[in-house]
Parts: sequence; structure tokens; C-alpha cells
Amino acid sequence: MAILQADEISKVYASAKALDMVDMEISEGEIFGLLGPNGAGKTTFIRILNQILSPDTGTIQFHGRELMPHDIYTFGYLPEERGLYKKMRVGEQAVYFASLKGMQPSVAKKELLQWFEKFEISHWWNKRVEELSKGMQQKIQFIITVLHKPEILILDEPFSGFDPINAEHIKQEILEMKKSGTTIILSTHNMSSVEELCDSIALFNAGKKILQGSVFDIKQKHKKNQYHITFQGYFDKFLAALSSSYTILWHEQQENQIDVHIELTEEVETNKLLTHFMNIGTIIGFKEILPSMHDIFLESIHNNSNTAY
Amino acid sequence: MNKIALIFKREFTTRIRNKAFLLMTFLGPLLIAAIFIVPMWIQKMQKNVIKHVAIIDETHILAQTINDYQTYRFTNIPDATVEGFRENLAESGYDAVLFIPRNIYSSQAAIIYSHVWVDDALRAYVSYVLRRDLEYMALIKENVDVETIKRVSTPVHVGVQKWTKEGRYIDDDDSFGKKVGIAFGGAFLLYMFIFIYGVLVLRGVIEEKVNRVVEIVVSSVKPLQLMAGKILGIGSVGLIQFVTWTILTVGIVYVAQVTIFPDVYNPVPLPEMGYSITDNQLDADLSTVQNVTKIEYAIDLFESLEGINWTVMILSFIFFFIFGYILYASIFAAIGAVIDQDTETQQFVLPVSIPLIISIVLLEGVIANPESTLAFALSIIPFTSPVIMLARLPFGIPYWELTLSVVVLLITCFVFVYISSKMYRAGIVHYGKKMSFKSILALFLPKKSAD
Repeated sequence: MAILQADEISKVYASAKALDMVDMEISEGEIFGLLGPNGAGKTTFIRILNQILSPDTGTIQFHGRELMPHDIYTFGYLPEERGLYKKMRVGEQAVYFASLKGMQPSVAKKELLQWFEKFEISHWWNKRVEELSKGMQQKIQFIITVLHKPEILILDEPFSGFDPINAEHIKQEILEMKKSGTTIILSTHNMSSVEELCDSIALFNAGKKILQGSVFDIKQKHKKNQYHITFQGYFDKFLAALSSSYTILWHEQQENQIDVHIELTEEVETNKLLTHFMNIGTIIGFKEILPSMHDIFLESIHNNSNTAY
Repeated sequence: MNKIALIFKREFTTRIRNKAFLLMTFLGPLLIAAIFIVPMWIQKMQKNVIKHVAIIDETHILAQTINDYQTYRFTNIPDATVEGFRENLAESGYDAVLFIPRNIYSSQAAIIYSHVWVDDALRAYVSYVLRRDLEYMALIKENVDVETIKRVSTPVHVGVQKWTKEGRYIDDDDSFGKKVGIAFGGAFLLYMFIFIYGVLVLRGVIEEKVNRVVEIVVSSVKPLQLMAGKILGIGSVGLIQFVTWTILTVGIVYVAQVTIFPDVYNPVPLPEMGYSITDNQLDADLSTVQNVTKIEYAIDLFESLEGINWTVMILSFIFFFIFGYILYASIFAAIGAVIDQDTETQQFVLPVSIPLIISIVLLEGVIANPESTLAFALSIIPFTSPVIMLARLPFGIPYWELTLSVVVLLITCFVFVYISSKMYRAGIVHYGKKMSFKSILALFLPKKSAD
């Protein structure tokens, strides 16, 4: 069931259309990726979900009813452009933001101390924010975002500014939150994190949603009947055995082991394909090649831009 | 409301605990008090320096009545000449030479020679004594009896009193002076307050934008709440600082005056002529007459003070002070939201402050004539009314004028807080690009339907 549903959302700034009749459905408990080039409208959409901006047209449904002002207590938001009050002390500041999200200061403090312990940063509590490095501040911001256990967690480029170790740390936390039932909306340019984390995605371009679905479905839809075959034998024999229904995309030979990428030009059952090749040599590996999100992203944006002009 | 309270609390506590703030709160009064104390100190220093004045009296009479006065010691040197001193005044041991020419009756002039600038007190004293004695002698020469001279030399004080239309006394010049003081003081306090704390609001908004903290905040609270909490928080900090400044400054100056400089503001009166008129019959009659008017006047003043509703006056003072600040602070907050850098602040602050500056420039005129058309117009226009009304309040304002001004200011305040909150809302999440005039205007125009 959709926990969040957007219908015909449009937002026009003075000079540009930021969002144009965007529909979207986000299911409870999934990690939902918002993808798209810069200026595609992702941040505007996120701000509308967070009720920072109101849409010019359209509605947002939350749990099947209209999104209400008090719902912000159940949202957690880590903006892309994020910062903290530099002169305030870390602990005091975290308690402040938690109380803005409706937490009792005493409860907030107790839970913050647990988080600080988990991240091994308890000694930062009384430091001023300006004494911390950017990466350290990012950690604090992440904790502030998730402290009140939001139902909906919206993360805009959460990994930017983290080193690989801490990025992994955050990734694990995100998966943990998912396990506990949180619905997570992730906006990112980092395609590998989309592959690893996202269940569904929506792709934006120039204010329009041009693609939406589960990562699995989208990959299936964009696959091109390409296979990776590894076998021992002779490449000449392999070439000779090819019928017109295959195209060789790429091959590589090491000793007598050969790796080949082929694309089927007509529908053939994979079992038939294998039987055919078994006569040529010893098959060591056989795998369907699915397009990466990176490729799908580029291809979709490219096609969309071409049709648009 | 709870959100506003949280924002208020943060703005309030972080500022009030700030070391620079504490330093200024307690250092400020010392600096302001210094403005009063340093002149007192200089005066005291001067008082302790004895100055010797040589008198060359060609009349051989007038010098006799010039006695030592304050720090001046006079010595009559019968045979000296101005020429004699001119070459070696420095070595003579005298600071100045008073020359009374033989023809002083006709020329009506005496001269004080010195190497340095002659103190006004010395000049005033010498002129007073010479003039008095010359008049005295002239009258005796005309065969006027000494007793008559004593009787006619009655100093007269011309007072001023204001009547209401019903003919009651409401003002005398003494309380008028106090009112002028209150008027200037109140107007200047508000002017300073708006400049110091209004700009602090502006900087606070810009700081949140520059730090990129604002987006996290507005995902939890409405921009209007953020603006309200900030303006009220900073305003309260300002009030506390202002009250502290006032109390400490007055305290320091008072203590200094009482302990270190007890005599500075009690100047020695000019010497009497050496006779008294207290036992004079006519004088006694005069004083009876004076006492009667004084008693009558005192009753009327008391009545008139009750007539000027103090509750209304104090409440109005608080109202104009607070809403004057809120009006300007909300404009400053909106400016902070739409501009992107601290460096651009100045060019936006100036146009907004022009009505305030105009109020201060015209303040003297308004106080001199609180019921003029100019004063009326300025106290209705909401951008000048807070400062101008604070200046007019002590002189009494017709209720309908007061009401009109309050209503206009209230409406303007609501309109501007609304406009500012819209600009604030749109402006605070626009990073890195200045909002164009067009995009600001677009906030207030009906949306074009999405095509």
C-alpha cells in the first residue's frame, strides 16, 4: 500500500517550471530513489513533501489522507545543503532540533547519548560545532535527522561529504532503519548506492517524471537480451557456429578460455542457446547481462531530451 | 505557539550567554557613563588649579569690590601698566591681567589679557561685578537714595504656563523642560533600539542562510514561526540589555557624582552685594503675593497630572516602542531572507532606515511644536509614527489622534509581517542566487494556471 501518494503536483517559480504534473507512489517500508540530473526538480519535490513549499497544483496523500501540517513530526529530512549553528554546542543543538520535531528534551537527550555512544562520538557533546570537521558535522546531522524515529526519512544526497568508511557506516544505518519499517526516500547521483539500496526509483527530467517502478522491473524492461558466456575452446569454431540471430558485442581470450558478450537479435530460449554452444566447447559460465542504473539513467534522459525538442 | 517559544528560547539563550554580549552589556554603561563623567572630571581638575589675576585699575575704585571667586585670586597692582605685563606675563606669576581703563564709564569696556583662552566663568564674574558697581555708582551720582537702589534691584523670573481650553493650568516651564527631556530620550532610545536589534535580526537571518541550517529548521517549523520567534527573542534580549544599560549608566553616573564630584554640579553662586533685603517691608509683601500663586499653581499641577492619564501614556509608550521595533525587524528579516551575503546588507539597510533618520532629523521641530501639521502627519505615517509619537506623548495627544496612529501602525505591522513572512518563506531556501525583483513580485501576484 502506498504510504505517500502525489497527484499532479506542479510548481512554477517566477521564471521556470520546476515540477510539471508529477504523480508518484511510494510504498510503505521501501527505499525509494529519486534520480535525475541537476535542476530536474528533485529538491523541489522533496521540499513539497516536507511542507517547506506548497505546490501550485496537486495533492499529497499520506496514509490515504491529505498531508497535514502536524505530519512533519513523523518526517525526517536531511537536506542536500545542510549545516548547523556554528557557535552552539553539539549536544545542546541536537536537543534543540529534536524538540522542534516534538520530542521532550529529556527523552531526546537520553536517546542522543545512545546514538553518540554508537557512533563513538560521546566526547563531542560539549564541543562547539565550529570545532568539528565537515564529516563530523555530517554525522551529527544524520543523527539529528533520524533521532525522532520518523516514519518517512528523506535523505538528499546523504553520502556526499563522507569518506568511504563513514559512507558505509551510514549505508548500514539506512538499511537498519528500513528493517525497522521506516520508509526512506533517497535522492542521489550515486548510482551504485541506488543499485545497492533502492527498491524502487523515479527518474526526473526537466520537471517531469519520466520513469518509475521497482528497480527489478525497470532493469527487466531495459534489458537487451545480452549474455555473458565464458567457455574453453576455440573462438573460430564459436564464430563459425553462430547463426544470424546473435551478434558479438565483445570478446576476450586468455590461454584457451574465452569471454564473450552476445546479443540475441530474436527471442531464443536460453536453454536452446546453451545446447547450441555445448557442442563447441566447455561452458564455464553463463549470465544474463542486465543494464546498470547508470546506463538506464543516461539512456532515459537522452531519449527524453530528444523527444522533448 | 510552542514552536515560537522554542525558537524564542534558542535566540534568547544563545545570545544572552554569548561572551561578547555579556561584555558589551557591562562595558557599555561604563563607556556611556564616561561621556558624563569625563567632563565632570575635567571640570574638577580645572577647579583645583588656582589662577592668579592681576588687576590694573586706572579708576582706583572698582578693583576694591572684585573679590576672590572660585579658583580666581585677584591682586590689585596700583602702579602697573599693561605694557609692563605684555613682555613678561609668563614670568610675572600671573595667569591673566584685568585692565580697567580710566574711561570705563564712557567706553563701558574692560579687557582681560592672557596667553591662554580666558575661562567664561572669569569673564562672566568680572562683567557682573563691574556692571553692578557702575550702575550703583551712577545712581548714587544721580542722587538716588541707597535704600531705593536696593529695593528696585529685584530679579524677575518669567515663567510659562499652559492653559487647557477650560482655563486650567496644565504646564509650567519646569515640567516642560522635563517633558522635552523625556521626549528626546524616548525617541532616541527607540531609534537606537531599532538600529541595533533590527540589524541583529537581519544578521541572524543571513547567518542561518549562510550556515545552510535554515532548511533543517523550516522542515520542522513554519517560516512565520521562525521569524516571529527570532524577532521576539532578539527584541527581548535587546530590552534586557537596554534596561541594564540604563540602570547601570544612571547608577554609575550618580555614584560618581555623589562620591567623587560632589561639587561639580553645584556651582558657587555669584556673590551678593553685601546687603540683604529680607527685612524690607515691600519685599515681604511681594513674597506673600508669590506664595499665593505658587500654592494655587501647585494644586492645579497636581490636578493636571491626574488629568493626563498616566496609564494611557505609559501603555502608549510601550505599544509604540514594541510595535515600532516589530515593524522594522520584520522588514529587516525579509531583507535578510532575500539577499545572499552579508556584504550586501548595507545597501538595503539604508533605504529602510530613511524614515527613521527623517524622524530623528525632524524631532527637534516636532518637540518645539508638538501640535503642528507636520507633527500630526509624522505621527500617523506608520514608518515615522513610533519615534515621533514617543516624542509627542509627554506633551499630551488628543485621544482620537492617538487611536488613529495606533490603528494605522497595527494594520501596517500586520501587513508587513505578512509580506515579510512570504518573502522570508520564499527567500530562505533560495541559496546561491539572489531573488530577482520579478521573483519577489511573483510571490504576491495570483499564479498563472499551469498549462
